[in-house]
Amino acid sequence: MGSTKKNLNELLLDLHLDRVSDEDRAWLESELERDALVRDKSDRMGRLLHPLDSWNVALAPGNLTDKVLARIREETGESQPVPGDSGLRLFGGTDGGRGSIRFPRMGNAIAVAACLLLMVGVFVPGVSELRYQSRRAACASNLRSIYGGVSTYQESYAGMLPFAGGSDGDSWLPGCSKESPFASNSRHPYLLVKLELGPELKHFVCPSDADGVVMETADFLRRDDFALARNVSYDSRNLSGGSPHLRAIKTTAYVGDRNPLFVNAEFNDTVDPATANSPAHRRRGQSILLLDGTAEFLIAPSYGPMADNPWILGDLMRYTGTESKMRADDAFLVPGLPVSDPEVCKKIGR
Amino acid sequence: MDAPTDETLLKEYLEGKTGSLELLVRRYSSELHQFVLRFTGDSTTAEDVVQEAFLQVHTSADRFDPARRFKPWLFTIAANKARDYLRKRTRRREVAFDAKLSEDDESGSRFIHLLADDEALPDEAIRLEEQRRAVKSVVEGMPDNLREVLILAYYHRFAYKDIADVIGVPLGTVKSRLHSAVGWFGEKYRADVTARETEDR
Repeated sequence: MGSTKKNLNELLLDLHLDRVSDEDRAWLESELERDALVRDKSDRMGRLLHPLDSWNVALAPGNLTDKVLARIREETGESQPVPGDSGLRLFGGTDGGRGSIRFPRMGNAIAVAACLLLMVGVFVPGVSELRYQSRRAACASNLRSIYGGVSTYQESYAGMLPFAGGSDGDSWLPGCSKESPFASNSRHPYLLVKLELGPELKHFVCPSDADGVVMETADFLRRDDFALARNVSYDSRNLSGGSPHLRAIKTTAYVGDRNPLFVNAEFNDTVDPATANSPAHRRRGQSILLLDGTAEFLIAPSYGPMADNPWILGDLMRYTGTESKMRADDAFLVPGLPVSDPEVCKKIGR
Repeated sequence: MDAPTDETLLKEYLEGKTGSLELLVRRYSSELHQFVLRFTGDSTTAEDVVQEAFLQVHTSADRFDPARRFKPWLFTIAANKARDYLRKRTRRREVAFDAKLSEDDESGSRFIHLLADDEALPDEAIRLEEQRRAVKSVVEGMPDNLREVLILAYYHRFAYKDIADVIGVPLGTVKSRLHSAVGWFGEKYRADVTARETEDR
């Protein structure tokens, strides 16, 4: 590795822009450790670039996608939008299905019915599995939609995650401490819907979540959070005390299925976090969205090079609700418990 | 199940699956808007350029080189259109300065930032807003060829080779332009800060 003045400047810039190769990074880190002048140069580079983070620009209008699609339709002269058209036509032949209806003869009808019964017997177990797989895929698709919003948000807010306020010491579990104000964690991802960054209310309900129900749209703009815990099937990263910068935590979890260690707004210490899997997915695993945009189905809770377990914070095995992050790369998915939910209200004595 | 790649979606679109283009628009319209808005400093232009860029994707999809990646191609189209806009714009500074500075405030970003940090006292919020305006002003005053590289590299984290692809210059030129852009920014920003401090005294 050459360390001429020009190369060093280039490498330091690449380091600060997070585009340096592993080999160069290792070399630079040893130089930074060894040489105070290199450290000073790197600090100056950081100070020079830092103000650029403050330049956030206005978000794209919420209806931009629709405008683009309308413009394309207008130019091409298509009268009807065909979003998501798979080209598959289930009903209607070339004559549109109109005309006289001919009833089958009795013998044919019996034969068809027998075939149908046989098919049901053979395929029903397979259909059930297919349905499960399909719901799982839809769940992962929801997570990717949520990521689209996170991505847009961080571009506008200097690389930070959606953050609706809060301080260290606020409680994300209701009623655990009279001294700590209760601040639902679901307010943070809710910002993505409120700011119209792409994800919709329906994307927060996993089709595999038997209790999940999409929040009514009528009053969502008046709220700062989901109305009920059932409106959000996913638990999200604990942001108690502040929002971390996305760049440092790209391979860690942002949202995932409900944390099985918390049941009915209470911590349940009888569940082993090392083996706990999501009940929404037949306890076979869980859908997790990482901050690099990948939605994964984990068959064991731990993931990534750090083997992070998103159900727990560090090695803690008991939670009161006021715990805040210890390390930026230790994702801890905590329940979203909207303060307007009657069950939650009861717990916090409202 | 992994999401389809951009290139797969474009191929599907060419094969007649119209929903695939919609997915591409949903995937990139926001990011493209951010890029053009920073590059041109004008939100109406940003909207227009995004629309025109996707319209060109639609009309030129059959000429897309499958050996390339879709995203740099899309940004190339948008960058060309944004450059056309900048060339046509006359008396840019005189007309646009004040208008642009107030645009971001309408997005509610100040409100969100105040929410986002309990430590952000009013003085600190004012300082951050001043900094943001200064950065915006300095970057907007940068020559177009440097500003383009800085925005793609810093705000959109494009790889050098993708930036080279977008602006159609060799990789070495991208690196040297990025260095020049950072140097230009550092010098002008420092001068701006010094001028403001002198004014305050």
